[in-house]
Amino acid sequence: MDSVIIVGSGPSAVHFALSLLRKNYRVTMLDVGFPKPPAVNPADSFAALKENLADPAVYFLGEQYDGVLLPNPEKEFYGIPPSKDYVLRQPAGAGFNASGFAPFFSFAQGGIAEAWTGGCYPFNAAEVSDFPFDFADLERGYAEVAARIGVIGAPDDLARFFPLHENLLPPLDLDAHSAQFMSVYEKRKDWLHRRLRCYIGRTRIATLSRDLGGRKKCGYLGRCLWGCPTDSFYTPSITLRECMAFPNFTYQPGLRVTHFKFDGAQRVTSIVAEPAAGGAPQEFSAERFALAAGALCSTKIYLESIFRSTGERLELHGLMDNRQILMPFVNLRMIGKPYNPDTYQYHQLGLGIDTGDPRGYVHGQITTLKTAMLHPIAANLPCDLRTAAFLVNNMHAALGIVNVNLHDTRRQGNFVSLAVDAVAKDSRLVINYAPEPAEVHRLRAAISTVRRALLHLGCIVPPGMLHVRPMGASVHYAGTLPMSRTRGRHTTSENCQSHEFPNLFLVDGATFPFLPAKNITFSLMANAVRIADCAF
Amino acid sequence: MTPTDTARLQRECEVFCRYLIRRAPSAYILEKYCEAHARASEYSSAGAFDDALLNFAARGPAFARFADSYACLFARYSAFRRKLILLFSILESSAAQHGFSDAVDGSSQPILFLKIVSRGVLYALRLVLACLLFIPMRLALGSSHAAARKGH
Repeated sequence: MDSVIIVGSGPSAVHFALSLLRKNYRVTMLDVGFPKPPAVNPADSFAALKENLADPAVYFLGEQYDGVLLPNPEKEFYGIPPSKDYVLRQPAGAGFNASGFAPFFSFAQGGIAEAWTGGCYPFNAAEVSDFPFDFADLERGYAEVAARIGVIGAPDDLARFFPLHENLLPPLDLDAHSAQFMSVYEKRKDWLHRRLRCYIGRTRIATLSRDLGGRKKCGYLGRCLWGCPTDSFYTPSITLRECMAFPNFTYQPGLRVTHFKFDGAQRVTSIVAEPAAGGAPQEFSAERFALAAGALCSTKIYLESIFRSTGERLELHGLMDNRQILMPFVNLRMIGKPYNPDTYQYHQLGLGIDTGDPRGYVHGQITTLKTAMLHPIAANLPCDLRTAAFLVNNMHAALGIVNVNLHDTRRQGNFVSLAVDAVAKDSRLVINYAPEPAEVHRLRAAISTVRRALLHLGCIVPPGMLHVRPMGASVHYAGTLPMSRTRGRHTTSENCQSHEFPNLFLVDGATFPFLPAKNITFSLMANAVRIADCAF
Repeated sequence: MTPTDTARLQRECEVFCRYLIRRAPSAYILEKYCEAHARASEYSSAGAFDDALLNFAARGPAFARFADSYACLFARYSAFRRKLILLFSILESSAAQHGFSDAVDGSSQPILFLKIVSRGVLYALRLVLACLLFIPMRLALGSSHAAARKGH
């Protein structure tokens, strides 16, 4: 039985592992793996949680009250809630220096996707034209992943941007605000299509509208933001648990992989990991190795391995991420209406803009506000807090936000390298990013189109509330070790096999040569399944 | 935290709670308000004007509202404003029995719009009066508006 070591436990890693386990490979997964705390009161709804918890303030605001979002010009409206703090917990030795980029790193079991919002947006044929494989191969991966995790969706106006694949589940019930929004869209969509080339429909989401395996369908508890207590909403730790049921799987948490060693024939011989709690490094050997720790962490391991063996300090160019713009809006027809917290909380609707460029699609996720904390909104209104509370309460059911995503391309100036402190025997990842000069025009065009579309649907974007997020905020990192049709230096084959190290696979976003304006998590999982099918 | 500090925070919490939800805080809210001050450093005042604004607001709910009318625009990062937001967040995290309601007004949309407009007008009047008091106070105590907007 062939042995494979996989580094990381994020979406790519767990689906790659599951495919290999089903093919009877012996798989060892090395991971820092900070675990998810057990769900509290799993049967309670959002409102019941406040009533039934002995100390609800600590649950919602955290032990140190970090969940209180005080006004701060540097901070965003919402961060990760205290119940998901473990997702961003950092082990020692995970430092970085970044310029023009604000990265997030996760060392949790399941990776950063433990705190994702579930968007599953398959790339289309035009968007994978730079990828050196057939679109049909990826399509099979989408169908397989959808069957594993459960993805809801509908063949509606957004299907022109997201190819339909097998195993889609029917959508969930819409909350009242989203339903109202869609009913207005149905009446006015001709104008939106004709004038703005703007389309609206149901998003594809990794959640269950019917039972799947041991997981129950969404019970509308309204706790999505705080962590689904019933696993109806998919996160990669669910697949990790599935992997653990295989006798040929070994999960080794508490280890931070620093580098791999290779011989004169460029074959990787072992992986070196340091215990996250401190202690002597450990070495692990196998026949094949897969870096699936997320584009930036995998790239750091790759850079460090080459530096330690050869002294060469590489710069890997082509780092990409989706620029995101948050556009809060008020739906005028919903003002004064009561809101129902017992609904699905993340985006249920999406907005797509056809820019005329097949790869220039602009994507927006429309989230109607339900159980998110109100104090960050009230605190930012230009009036005293009691008046603000009155306004927020009466506009609660009318508030929403569009998260607009733009595509990115690999460019020479955006690189990742290593800074080494020989005295401290420490290395840090160095990240340099600058947006392309034309980005500002794309930003303005996207903002203008979304604003006009919202206005046409009876919604206004309050002045001064729009927020262009810093690069790095979307956590859709890609492009540093791209798949290539030619054997360029520090590239990979169509099966994500390193051209430098033939028994090393890069199974995450590092290999993507283009980044459409879509959450890449679903494509990462599908690609991992594709690699396991084609190369193993 | 000394007993004097705790007593001062409890008094502060009571005033701010009466301002925000028109009722006294429950024992749970008082406990959480004091606990947050003990665990996080963000709620200490950062200067003479910050102190003066907080002392003024802590005199009573009407004073708190008057001070907040000014602080929400011109002292957004002050200790007073931070404490108010902390209390708001504790209230909204707690069970309904602790007094925070996120229910709608219940009026028809035209009536609701009239109520919003009238609250806006009243707020504008309070703001003008508050500016007349707090701008000279701030100048006298040597804290600039620009610095306050930047969070200093």
